[in-house]
Amino acid sequence: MPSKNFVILIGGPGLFVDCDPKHDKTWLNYIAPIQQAADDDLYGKTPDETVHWFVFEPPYDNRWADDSVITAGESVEKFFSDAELHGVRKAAADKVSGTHAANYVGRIKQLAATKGIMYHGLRTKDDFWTELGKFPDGSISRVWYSGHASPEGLMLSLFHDSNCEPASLPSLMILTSDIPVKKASIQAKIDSSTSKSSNFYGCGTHDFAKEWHQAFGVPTAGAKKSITFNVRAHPGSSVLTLIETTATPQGSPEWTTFP
Amino acid sequence: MDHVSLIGTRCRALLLITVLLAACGEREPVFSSLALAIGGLDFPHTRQTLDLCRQRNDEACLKSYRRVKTARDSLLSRPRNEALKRVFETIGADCGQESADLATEMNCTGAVAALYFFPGPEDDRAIREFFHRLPPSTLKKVIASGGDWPGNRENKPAWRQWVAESPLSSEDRQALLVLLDRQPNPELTLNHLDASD
Repeated sequence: MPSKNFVILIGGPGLFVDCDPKHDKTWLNYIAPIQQAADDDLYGKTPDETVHWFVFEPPYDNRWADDSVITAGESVEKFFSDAELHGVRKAAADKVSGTHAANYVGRIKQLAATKGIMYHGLRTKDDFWTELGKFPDGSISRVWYSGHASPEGLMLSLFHDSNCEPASLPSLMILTSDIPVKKASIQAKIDSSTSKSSNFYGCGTHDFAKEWHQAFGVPTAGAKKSITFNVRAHPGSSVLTLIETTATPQGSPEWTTFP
Repeated sequence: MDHVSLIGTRCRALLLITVLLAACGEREPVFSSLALAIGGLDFPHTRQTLDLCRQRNDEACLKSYRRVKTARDSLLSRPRNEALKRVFETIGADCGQESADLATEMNCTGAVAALYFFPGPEDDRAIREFFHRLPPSTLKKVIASGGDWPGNRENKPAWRQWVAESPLSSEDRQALLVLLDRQPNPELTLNHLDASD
């Protein structure tokens, strides 16, 4: 009988825009590695653990609205510039429609269901803490994260400002400084005797992992520098190990564990 | 009117319209740029990351750094009390809106981040007086914006006393105390904005 809860918080992509071809070319950026890790049995799930995906839904709604339709303006732009960007996005949306999912959120729910994973849709950052607070005492064996991040915190959603600079807002982030503030509300829910590591897959999550470790006394891990989700695991290799070790232009991610 | 003067008049009109459009395009670019210090994906949050950006000539990272540095320089080019007044005005206007658009949220975040540059006891007195006049919902937003400014206060005991006597909710009170207790990090890029680039 499962009595432990393994939570994976999944942040969302920004829009794929002409002025920033570097980030989030695919809407699946933060789902695909976690999905593959489930397929390849890399969660290290114990028989008493139930896996939960906490998905921050608003960016997936926004991305679907942007990807699924080629607007008249985009058609004109394509005519003059021969841009493939809109076509790439539309193809991704069409592929999802082909699975009979209503949209990206629907597709993620399908994926979770096929793997026996419990799906939780989050609409605000506070939902993360609220949902954690609903678990029985001592039952949260670990928390993972997949998404954009910085030393300031986990960026559940990303947008481009008027200079096309990718950014998030405190209202869309689980701030590193939120942990000691929210600690009291979920401390009883955490299994403090766990040996399972809470892994935060995002750029610069080192400080967040350290704060989580200090707050709850559980093993954690995070990256000191940038990481890339654009990794391809071959048979016999682990997508998670690749994320932890693949160098970016900043060099090695310096994946760090807090025992 | 001959053709030359007509063209001159139209050029001036066009120039005026361009300037007006540029002025209307973003209400307060100083604060929306400073918001990157909290939420910028490419902003180098620590000196080590900034050094790496320089070594590798990472243009996105350096551009983000330059925007924050230029915004800080622009803000502090004014007399200190005027600059702080500008921060207060932006917090009052842009942190008090319930369903704000992204530009307003960026301004609010940047104005809160700007408090980092006003750590002294005189600044603190002005900030506390300002906080006292703020509607509770606005003050809540300021505290929820996080940032490193509370950890950078020179006179923390005075702040702790203010928190104890403030009308803040217990959760906000706890949140501000937690932020105040954070030690200033000398490696933060915000402390190294004067480095040449």
